[in-house]
Amino acid sequence: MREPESIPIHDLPTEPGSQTADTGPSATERGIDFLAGIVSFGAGLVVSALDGEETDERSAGVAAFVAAGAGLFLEGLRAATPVLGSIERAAGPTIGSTGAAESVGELLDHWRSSWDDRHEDDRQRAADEQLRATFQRAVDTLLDQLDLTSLVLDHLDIQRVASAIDIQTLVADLDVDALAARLDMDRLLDRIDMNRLLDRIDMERLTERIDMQALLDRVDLPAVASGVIDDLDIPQVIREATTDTASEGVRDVRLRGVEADRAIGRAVDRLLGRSNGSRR
Amino acid sequence: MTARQTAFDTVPREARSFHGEPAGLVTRTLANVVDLVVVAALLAGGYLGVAGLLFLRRGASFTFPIVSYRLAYAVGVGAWIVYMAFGWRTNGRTYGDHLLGLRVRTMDNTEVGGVRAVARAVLCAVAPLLLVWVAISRQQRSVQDLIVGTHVVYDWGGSRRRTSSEDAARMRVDVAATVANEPDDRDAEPVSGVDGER
Repeated sequence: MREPESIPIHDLPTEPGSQTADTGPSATERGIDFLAGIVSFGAGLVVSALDGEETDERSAGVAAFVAAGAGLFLEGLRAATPVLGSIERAAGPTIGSTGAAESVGELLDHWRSSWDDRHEDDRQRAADEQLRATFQRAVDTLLDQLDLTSLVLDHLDIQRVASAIDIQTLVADLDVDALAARLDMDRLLDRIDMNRLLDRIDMERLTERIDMQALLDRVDLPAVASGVIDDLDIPQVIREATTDTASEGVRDVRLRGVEADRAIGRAVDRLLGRSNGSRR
Repeated sequence: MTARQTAFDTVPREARSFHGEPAGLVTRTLANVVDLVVVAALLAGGYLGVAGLLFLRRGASFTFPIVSYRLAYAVGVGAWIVYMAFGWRTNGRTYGDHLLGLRVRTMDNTEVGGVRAVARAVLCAVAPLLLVWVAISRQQRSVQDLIVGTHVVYDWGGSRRRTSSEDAARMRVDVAATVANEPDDRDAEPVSGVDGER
């Protein structure tokens, strides 16, 4: 839709000498200005609205009529301005002394400027919106045409980038527990050659570093010992040892018997020509 | 708490070097002599017991019973067989074997069963002289051993379940020094006599 064009009224020629050198436009002029502004804006709206349906013969006619009416009204205003100005000047002292004319003029000025500001804001916003959309589309089109990955790989020095990264800070932010929970430790351990690992461990140094005394202090040795004794059934051991082992005299006899056995064995071996040690 | 079987070996220290080795002729002969003495003593005791009973019954007309040689021989051999079979079956050793530190084992180093024990006892009683083959045999086995599949080994240990040489690697407890004055001292006397006679 076309922007409604306001009909220029601000540069209406003013009557020379219609105003004093030291004062601005009089209240009457400003009121007429404002009125002309409203009329021109309204006429612009109507015309532009009707312009939207140009195919319609009748609406075109209406538009022309509205435009003509507006123009006529404006011309009338222009003609009336000097007259109204002179009237104002004649009654100036009385009206001006009251200050009413002054304040009415200011009010009208304020209305007009706020109207203009709002109009300007709308236009600015629309333009921003359009610009943004256009830019977005342009960037999309550009990216569609580019292979960013290959571009980065071709032109980016990854090593330099990586060296610039502070790993410590990165690691400090890392939740190692959560990471470990995601690891399959069994599979990891399967891949480790434990024997090679153990070969690399210096057992001597390792054992040197163990405080055996401290370790033993922590062990409840009496409990362990009593557990061992319970398990071994010491009374049974003593029973077996005492009932079936022999006294000194018997052991002496046994030892002599063994020696005699060996002597006989050696003699027989010699007699039969057998090599020594053939007997078990 | 149930104690598991002890893994201690009660073999005295001085006997460990030959523990489980096959025993020779001298020790085995001595063991047999001891057994003969024991059986003879048992028979004598039996005879005296019977005589005592007869004395109580007959009173003044009591005379010692006359035993024929054949009966004495038969009873003696029977007693010897029972005595040896009982010893080998129950503990792997007779009293003579115990004094000389011997034990009868199968060639698989297992305990001797009832049939084997009786067969061996019969063979030993019927033909004791076949023991001499021990001196000639490389494995120190008598003819009886060869027939029933046994051998006699040195075993000074207390329990029958720890007699094989493969036990040598086990933890050992030297208990010999603590048992110097035990009842066995009485039994040691006649053996010393036998040793002296030899």
